[in-house]
Amino acid sequence: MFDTETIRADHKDVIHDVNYDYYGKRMATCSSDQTVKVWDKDENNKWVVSSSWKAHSGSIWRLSWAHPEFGQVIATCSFDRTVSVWEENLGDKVTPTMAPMKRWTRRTTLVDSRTSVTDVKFAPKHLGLLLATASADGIIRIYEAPDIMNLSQWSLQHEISCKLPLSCLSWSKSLFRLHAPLIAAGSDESSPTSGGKVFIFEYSENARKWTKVETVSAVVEPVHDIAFAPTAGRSYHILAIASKDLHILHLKQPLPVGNEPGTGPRLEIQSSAQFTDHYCHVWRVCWNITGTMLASTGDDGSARIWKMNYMKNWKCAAVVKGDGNQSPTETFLQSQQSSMNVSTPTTKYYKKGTIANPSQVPWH
Amino acid sequence: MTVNSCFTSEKISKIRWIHEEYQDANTFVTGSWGSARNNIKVWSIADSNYAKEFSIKCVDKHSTIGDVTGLEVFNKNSLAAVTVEGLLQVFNVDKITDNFSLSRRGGVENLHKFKRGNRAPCNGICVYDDYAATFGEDGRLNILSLADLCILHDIAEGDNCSVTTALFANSKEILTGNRMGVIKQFDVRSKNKEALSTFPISGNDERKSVAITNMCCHPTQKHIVISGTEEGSLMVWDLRKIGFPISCFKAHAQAITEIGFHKTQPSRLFTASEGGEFWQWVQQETSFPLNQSQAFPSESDSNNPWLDSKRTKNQINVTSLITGVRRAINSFDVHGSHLACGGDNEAVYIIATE
Amino acid sequence: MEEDPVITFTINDELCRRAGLTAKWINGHQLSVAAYNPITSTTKDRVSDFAGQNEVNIFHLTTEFIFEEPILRCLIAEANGVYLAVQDLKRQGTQSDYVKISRTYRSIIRACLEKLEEEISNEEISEEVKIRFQNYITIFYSIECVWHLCEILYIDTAPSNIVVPQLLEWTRFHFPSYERIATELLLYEREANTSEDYWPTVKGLILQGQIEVARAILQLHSLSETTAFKMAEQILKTMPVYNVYGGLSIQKFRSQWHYWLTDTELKLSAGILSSEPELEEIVKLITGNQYSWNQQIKQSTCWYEFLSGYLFYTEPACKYFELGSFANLWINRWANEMGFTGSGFLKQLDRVILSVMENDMNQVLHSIQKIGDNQWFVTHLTDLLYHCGQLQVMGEQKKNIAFSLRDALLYEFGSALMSRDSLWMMGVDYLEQCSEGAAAMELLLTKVPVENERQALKVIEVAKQRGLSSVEREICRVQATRSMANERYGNALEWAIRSKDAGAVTAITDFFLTNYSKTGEMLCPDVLGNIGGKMFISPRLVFLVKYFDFHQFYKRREFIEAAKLLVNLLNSKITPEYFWPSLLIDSIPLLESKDPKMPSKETFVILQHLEMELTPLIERSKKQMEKAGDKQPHILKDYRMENIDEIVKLIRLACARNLARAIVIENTFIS
Repeated sequence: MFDTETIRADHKDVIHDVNYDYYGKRMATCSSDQTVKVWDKDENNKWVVSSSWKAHSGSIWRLSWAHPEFGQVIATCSFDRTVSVWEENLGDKVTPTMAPMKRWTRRTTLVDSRTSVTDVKFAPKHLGLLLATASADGIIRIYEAPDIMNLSQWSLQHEISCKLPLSCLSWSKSLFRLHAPLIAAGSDESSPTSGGKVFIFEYSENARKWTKVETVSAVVEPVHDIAFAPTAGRSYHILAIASKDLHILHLKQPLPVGNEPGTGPRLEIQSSAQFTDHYCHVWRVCWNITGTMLASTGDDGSARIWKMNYMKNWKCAAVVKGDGNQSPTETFLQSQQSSMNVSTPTTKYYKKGTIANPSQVPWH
Repeated sequence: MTVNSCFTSEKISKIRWIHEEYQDANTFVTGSWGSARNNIKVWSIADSNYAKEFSIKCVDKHSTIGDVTGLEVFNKNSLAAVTVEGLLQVFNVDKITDNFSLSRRGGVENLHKFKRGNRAPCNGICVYDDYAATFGEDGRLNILSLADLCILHDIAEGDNCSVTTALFANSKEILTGNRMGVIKQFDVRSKNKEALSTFPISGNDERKSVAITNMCCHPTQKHIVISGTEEGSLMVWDLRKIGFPISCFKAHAQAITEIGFHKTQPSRLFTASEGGEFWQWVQQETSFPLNQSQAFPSESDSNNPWLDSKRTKNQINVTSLITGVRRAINSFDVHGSHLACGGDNEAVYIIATE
Repeated sequence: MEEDPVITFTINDELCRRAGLTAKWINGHQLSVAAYNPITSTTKDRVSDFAGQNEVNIFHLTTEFIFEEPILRCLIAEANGVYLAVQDLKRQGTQSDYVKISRTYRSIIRACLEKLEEEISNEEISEEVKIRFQNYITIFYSIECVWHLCEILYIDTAPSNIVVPQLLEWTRFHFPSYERIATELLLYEREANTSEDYWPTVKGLILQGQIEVARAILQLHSLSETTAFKMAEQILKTMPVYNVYGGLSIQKFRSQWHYWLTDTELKLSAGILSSEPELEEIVKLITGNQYSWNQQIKQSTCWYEFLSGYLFYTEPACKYFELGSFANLWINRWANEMGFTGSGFLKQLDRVILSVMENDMNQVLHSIQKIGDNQWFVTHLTDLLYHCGQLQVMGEQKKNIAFSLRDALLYEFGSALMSRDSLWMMGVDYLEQCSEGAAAMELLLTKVPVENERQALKVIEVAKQRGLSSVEREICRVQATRSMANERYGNALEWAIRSKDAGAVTAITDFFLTNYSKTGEMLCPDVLGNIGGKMFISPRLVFLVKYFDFHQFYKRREFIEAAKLLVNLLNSKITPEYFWPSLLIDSIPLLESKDPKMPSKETFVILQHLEMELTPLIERSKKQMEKAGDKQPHILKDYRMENIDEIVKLIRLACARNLARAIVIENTFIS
């Protein structure tokens, strides 16, 4: 089913985040060792580090790639309470024959958070060069670079207080311009008495402000990760929530009627699926490009791949587990036992010549 | 007319016949694009048992990284190929016993680079005798000797826009076309690296860029140049009176990918398009009496139909050579009565017109 | 329908085992896996328990994809053309159109199998490649076999749903050895029966219902003139064969058949063939003798080998909807004779063939999804059956879900191709035909990893043909950004113009203008000189182009024209704020000219703009500077402050002097 390529990360501690650029052709990793590494493929299609640098003075929790329209830009967030924006550029030529080195330059450090910054995400590109951060101090901060030619200027546009420590956030992915942008944020506050742990905010173009439009009351357990699926032509949003269970919600966003969010019809939220397959906490969720597959990470140490079938139902399609004792190649728990039989055919129509007996190979 | 086809397992970017004397060419080379590894392949066609059917077989190949963006035959059986990575390679295509094979004679690397020295994509090559010119996204024009495999001359800042096509007008002048629709004329030998002249084209909507996609010149009257555009139209230029095109025709619905005259029958012009069309433009029999000593009726300006837009419309017949190809035909070549074309549907087509 | 098992995939990594792991999508077909140590908002920053103990690795899991192999790549490309032809028929084609298409698909598979065989016979290829190719042959042989059966039963349906003649054809096709030997035997002529293959072949032919050929070979027997042979020939010749076009009703045929059968059985029991046991056996077979058939069953290599022959002799008028129950009866009998028990004796292909005969489309499509061909077969077959109106798939509430099934398959197959760097173009054709395809295309086209402008133009062309203007725009903008990074400013400007995004054009134009005010150098004159009508996309670009024209006039010493244009620009209301100093400075040499280039009226205009635009700007900047300490104010950061006062003074002076000269001349003219 899978071919595996192993890449030695060379980080001195566990990696907290691996992220791929828009095309899946570049990789960035960050770790508790306070470094960020950017990887590219060499001529033999092998991943190699093209840059590695100490980016923060604390663990780096997450990173985000900006859309390539804004250049080669990543943002990192750290326990050191800061967020940094990095841009890759070409260094000066060292020798006339050698190509110049690429290097990443810190364009800005955003220091508004008073606590560890737990998540950082660039906005969908049609909103401009915007960056949202979530912090343990319970505040979502939205920054903007008004001049895309100059990434050293970022202004703090909005501060949204959620009152509970935040662990994650996600921008809605709708390409439908009438839909106002949404941000969903999750808190990993552990007491169930503090109510819903997922907050949804909507931006009003007219009022130039973010308003909370929903607290998802169905999720009262701590939330560790949250992700809007790419809409891919759907008229509603799909939101995956990593909490005690894995939740998949459908959000139907009303078209704006009044000027103020919250005054028009409400967001319709429907639970599409809830899975307990990890048996305990779900830590991370990640959508594929078209929003038809979801990968979830659980406290059981495994990752599960969920697939939507043609009846629009979600089903677990595969489980990925770590095992140090196995032989280096993959094993299947349930391989097909049956084999097929085949006899000798001849081509009688159109094409001439005979075809020999194929070997007995089972279907995969 | 018969058409034979063969699937190639890769998208074809260029196709060229290997010239053979006194007979129709039976060997051609292709370059591919869009795969992790691309190939320069030599193919042979042979009559098969069935009437009017050829068998098309790949007889040799050379694998390369990066799209093959240019492929030209020079000195009859030598081949110059450039890849998008800015690598020019020269091959001999030799007949060893019955089969043709490729042998690499040498190459020049890193032909195109941006200001900081990082590699720039090379967009193609054009040749004149033993000389070649490569052009690319860096706007640079390299003039090379294919015999010595070295750069003779370069125009580093030929264009501030990407050069999409180039053509030797004669041994010392080269024409370039760029993505914003500007044709420039350079003297390849002069110390002055400025363009001799520059002339922009305009499309249907003057607010839109219309790239020059390909150019060719008339085989006997070299001052007649025809350029193809992104919008699918043809523009005819007289190099003695440049500035404005003599005429302009709306032809294909999508971009013209390649344009060229039949080398020995100048009354035939061919065009291929991004929309999968491959057309022949044939000059009809002229009504005025032929001069007995003249082998070809189109030898003088007064009767060359391309030099007068009215004449063009009256005297030139357009026929489609192939139908049902649903993707771009990126390249074609004509030799004798054999036509070859190939493109993004991963097939090559061999058309025998006799 | 059976449930699919959940596949468990194991990563061999100590750190992943200890810490657990997380997975992330890279693109449509790749998953990235790495060890994961949970963190929360209250996690303290400390070295993890795993630091320095195990290697930290990242794993990229790539789904297997067979169509990178050139031979199979030809298949997928050629079949893509056929698939497009199916779409062109818009479900309006005739049965013969669809039969022709089905056969074309199958002949593409056949050609591919041939090429694979050819490769395998090549001595030079490695064992590993051989095994891989062998596997492809198995996959595509099965596909062809199932496809052929589907073609007979669903596409090339005979009038009144008679299936036996086509089934015989299908069997012959897939068990061709008897026919092949028969051809050789026919060449032997009279000595045919000396071959040890003689009787097995005659029997085989009879079992496949090939009576004509069997008779021809029997004629070659050295004893063919004997009574027994003549009797046998007579029986074979007179056997009624059901023919839908024969004009006989099924009842009439049955009575004929019974008459013949009684007659033949009578002859058998009279022992007229007992001298030739082989002949007797053959005649017993054609009478459908249970014992004889059971004996033959033991020789069969798979359950369906003799099914169609048996039906030919016993149920020649069997209808398509009866086939399932006959097949099941036969399979039980077969299992019984072979001594199989349980359910494990049927192999995958066996079961699919049974499902096809049972007309259990849900099961057929479900099974062929797992054939290992990246869903090529299921997608193309479903699409074809849907188009010829033969796809009946029951979903919940007994509704036909054919459309949504085809839709989902096309979506998945198309998305899978589009996530492959070299096959994205083909993927578009599949997405284009499904209801949510356009949106997926919009997402996936922008993710085609474009490495150069030629490739970018290819993607843009595909997007343009499908009206996906947002894709065009995005790709152009990315190209503009790349060109900026490579310091190809003119090229970047052209890409921005192509993107039709006024904001992007303005941003790059600002770069040209600020660069000019910093350095005095006009970038990319060849590009600016040829922008023409394209400038109207952004007022800022109009300003830049006009300003460039001003420079050209100046360069050509056409000062009067230059002066006019400058005044126009000053009045144009499109001057960017930061450019006022530059623009006004440009007026100085024109004002200082001995013979005036600026009439008095225009000189007043310059003065007016100096006082109305530049002076307030300087004031504002100064105030900002005081507020912000020693930080350079934004607007005038390219000018030092002590200079700017000097400049204002110079302009005022120049205006005054020019005014003096101009008034003198103008008044002279009047008088």
